[in-house]
Amino acid sequence: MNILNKALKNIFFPFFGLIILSNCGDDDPITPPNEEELITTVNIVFTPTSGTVVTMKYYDEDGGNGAATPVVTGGSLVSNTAYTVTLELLNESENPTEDITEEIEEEGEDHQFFFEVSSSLNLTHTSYNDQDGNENPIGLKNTFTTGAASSGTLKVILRHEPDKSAAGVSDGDITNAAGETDIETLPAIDITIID
Amino acid sequence: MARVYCYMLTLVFIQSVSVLSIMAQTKDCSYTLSGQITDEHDQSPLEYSSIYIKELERGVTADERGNYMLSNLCAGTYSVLIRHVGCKPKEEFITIKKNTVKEFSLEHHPTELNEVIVEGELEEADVSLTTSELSEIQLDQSRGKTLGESLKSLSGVNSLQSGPTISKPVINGLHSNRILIMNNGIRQEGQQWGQEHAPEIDPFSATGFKVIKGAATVRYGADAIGGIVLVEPPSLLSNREFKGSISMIGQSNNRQGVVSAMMEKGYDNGIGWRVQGSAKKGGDAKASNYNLSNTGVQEINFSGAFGLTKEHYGFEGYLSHFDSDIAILRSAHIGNLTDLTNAINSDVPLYVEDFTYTIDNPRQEVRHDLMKLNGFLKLADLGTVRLQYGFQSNHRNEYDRRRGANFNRPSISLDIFTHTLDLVFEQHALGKLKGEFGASSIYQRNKNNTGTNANFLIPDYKNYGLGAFAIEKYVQQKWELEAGIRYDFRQLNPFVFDSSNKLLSPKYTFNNVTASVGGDFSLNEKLTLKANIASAWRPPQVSELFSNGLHHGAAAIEQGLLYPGGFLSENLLDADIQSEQAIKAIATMEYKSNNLLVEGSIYHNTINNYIYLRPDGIRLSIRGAFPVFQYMRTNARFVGMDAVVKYKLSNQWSYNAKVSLLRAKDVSADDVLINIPANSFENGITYQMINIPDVNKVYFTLDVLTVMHQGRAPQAFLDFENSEPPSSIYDFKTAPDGYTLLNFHSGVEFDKLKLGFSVENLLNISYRDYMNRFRYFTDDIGINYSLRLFYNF
Repeated sequence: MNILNKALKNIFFPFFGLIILSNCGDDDPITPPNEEELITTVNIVFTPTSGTVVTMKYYDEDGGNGAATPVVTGGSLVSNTAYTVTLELLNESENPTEDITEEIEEEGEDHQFFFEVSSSLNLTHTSYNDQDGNENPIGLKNTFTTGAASSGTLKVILRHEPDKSAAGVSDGDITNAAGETDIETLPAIDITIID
Repeated sequence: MARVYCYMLTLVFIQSVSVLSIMAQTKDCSYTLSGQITDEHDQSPLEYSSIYIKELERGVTADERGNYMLSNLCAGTYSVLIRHVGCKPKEEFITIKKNTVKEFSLEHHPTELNEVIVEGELEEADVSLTTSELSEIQLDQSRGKTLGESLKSLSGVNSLQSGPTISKPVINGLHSNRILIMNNGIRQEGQQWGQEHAPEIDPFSATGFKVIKGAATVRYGADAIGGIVLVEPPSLLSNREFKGSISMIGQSNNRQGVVSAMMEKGYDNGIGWRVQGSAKKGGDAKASNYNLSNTGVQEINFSGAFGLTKEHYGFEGYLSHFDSDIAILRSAHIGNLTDLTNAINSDVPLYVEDFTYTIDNPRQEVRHDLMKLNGFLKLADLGTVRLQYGFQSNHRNEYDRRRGANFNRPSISLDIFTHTLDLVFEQHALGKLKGEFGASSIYQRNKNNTGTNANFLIPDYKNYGLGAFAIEKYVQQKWELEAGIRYDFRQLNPFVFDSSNKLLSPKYTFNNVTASVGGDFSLNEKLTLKANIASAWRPPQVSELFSNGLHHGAAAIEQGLLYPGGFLSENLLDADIQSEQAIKAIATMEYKSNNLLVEGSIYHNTINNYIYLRPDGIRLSIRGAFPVFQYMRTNARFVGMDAVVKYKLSNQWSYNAKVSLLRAKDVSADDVLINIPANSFENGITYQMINIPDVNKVYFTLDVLTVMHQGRAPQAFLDFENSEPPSSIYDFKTAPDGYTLLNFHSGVEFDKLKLGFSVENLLNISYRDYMNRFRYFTDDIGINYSLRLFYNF
């Protein structure tokens, strides 16, 4: 009985007491970290074999986390022309600006871009010009071809963990791609094709 | 303030521990009470009957000849409760001055149902409140399931599921922070605000599961608007005894195995201890036609208790550890509105893989530790003082499917520490008045951990609370009246950062008075009526105030009350944030005869300032479109009825039925509320084999569970591309059709061994339940065979 009491008084209770005291610390709250995976910007660079390079931009200040309205800069392309189109992804909320493009390239097997052109616009995604480790497309480099003068919109979609082996996916058809959307440029980018 | 409070708490604690230790050194008591328990009619011994001394909270089971012995009693007058299966329990007063031999006899009702008696032992503390408790058979059948799933067998109790592994109890339509879970006497404090955050409790740590359906805030404090779940471990042994049990449960659906073991020992000097542990491993569950990929679970839990029980004092220390890893259905992790539309429009979940035990992202890691120390001291002429301290530490990591190295970083990593201190004084009866007075305090600290590389879903905060209550009871032979009042002070001190990362630290203070009045009337031996009306309150949760971000399970942006339009309003930091206020009235009728039990209750719960999520258009971003949901306030009303009927047709056959009806309404908007359980009915028939030598019990039950379509659900809206979302409440999908499930249960009981076999969803039908948040994406689980083995030694 006495031994027990001693044990309780000397070990058990102080242990509990310590737990209480140890949690009395008033440490300061930590500042919220900057979100590493944030993508704020998609730059779409249209380079014709000869002629002017056109850069279009989709910029969302808070990368989809907040209430900021995205700023979309479209552009005009020349009719009946083949363009090499490269995509650049940035996190401009960091200083210096972080380039996410490389990361996507490295994890090419887990990512694929898709392009949705509105029916009124005579713009065709002719081919993907890059490949991941499994020889499936990524979509950071592409060829687009313009048709007759027209106007409409282009939507750029980046899927994370798509099923690239599903029917049509490696040809750029998103229908069976599944996965999760990392980028979907809404509102879509305005494009005018002029002669 | 925090520091002062914390040290005060520590001082009070150390003081009380010293008092208890000093008390522990006073003289031992050595009288015994022994004798035989017999049948009143023929004086035959009642084997394995039990005798229980209420004041000491201890008892023993008699042997096969009805002989019992209780030792180490002090001189005094006790109220003794004698029970035997199939008999009416009897309470007698007995005075002990020396070693005493006493015979007790009970009135035997051979035709009465066992379960009727089990359910008859209602929580005595709040006589006027409606309480239901899992019967032994229901408890056995629920072993291996989560706490939320286990309680579903009670009428009026549902569960809010996020797939097969996460379930939260719902009492009369309310859940999460609107109900309170008391785990071994301590209010469970984790991250309950999340609809996909299940209670961090190992059901194997307890043997008693009760649900109080009234608003018992006066005794238990804030949050108990819908009701209370009591998770109660058995009392420690306090006389020479050694007991243990081993349980093993296997189930086919997710190829899950659960083992649990318990050992306990008591000594003549009133000391007792118990250790208990359980482990669970399950893989992907299966709907009737496909696997629910990534729904595995893994759990390791243990607890230990040590205590001393004497006549005038006692104390107990308790430690428990809960550790669970839960996979979340892969198809329920949604990128944006396009993904959500694709997932909802697909008949089959988008990710269906082969069965695996692997737990992949998205997943949750949850650890919960509870330490409790409590003691009581009887003051000769006044009453009993009880003091209880609890410390809880809750750690939660949630992993999403992120890019690159962030895949292995949690997106949410939270630690919450809670200290609670409760003091209760139970006054001796003064004439016909009995009373209880108490004070309680809580200190809580929530912390975000570094290393998530993600925005904080909820901010760090501190939370202080102090409360005091008084309950008085006026006891007559046939009726009792009770009334209670409570005052609570709460202060919430969050640490939020504005857009330029400047730290803001507002303080929100809540003062609330709640009251309760009720009565219990026995009209005759068979019919009892109970009624209670009580007010309750709940402070808004940090998530309801400060949420501002994407919810991956619904591809929705959720904005707290202080983030209207997605921006933190600095004016609102000084705002008067009102608490939710409720008044719940509940009335119950209980009819018990030899072969019939009918229990029905009706309730009416009015909640003002009811906080809920309301659609607020859509938002475009680089990640696509997202529906926005804004936390708003309204006034709500919940009206419903629960009933249970048990009818003994013969010695072998019995019938039971259960009904839960509920109608909930957003009164201010004259609209429906979301996630309200649909009406349900259950009918079952049991065949019990009797007079088999060496076998105590053999039974077979067939249950038919019908859950109706929830007709009063928000309209469905998903076509954001072509039309404007409605301004009134909407949901992404219409409520699923009603369904009927067939469940089979059976069991055989020997002296030391119990075996059980069940088949749930016997017809392997595909169905979706409105209360399962993953009903957008997948069917509920298909057929499940389970085998249970319990061995007691």
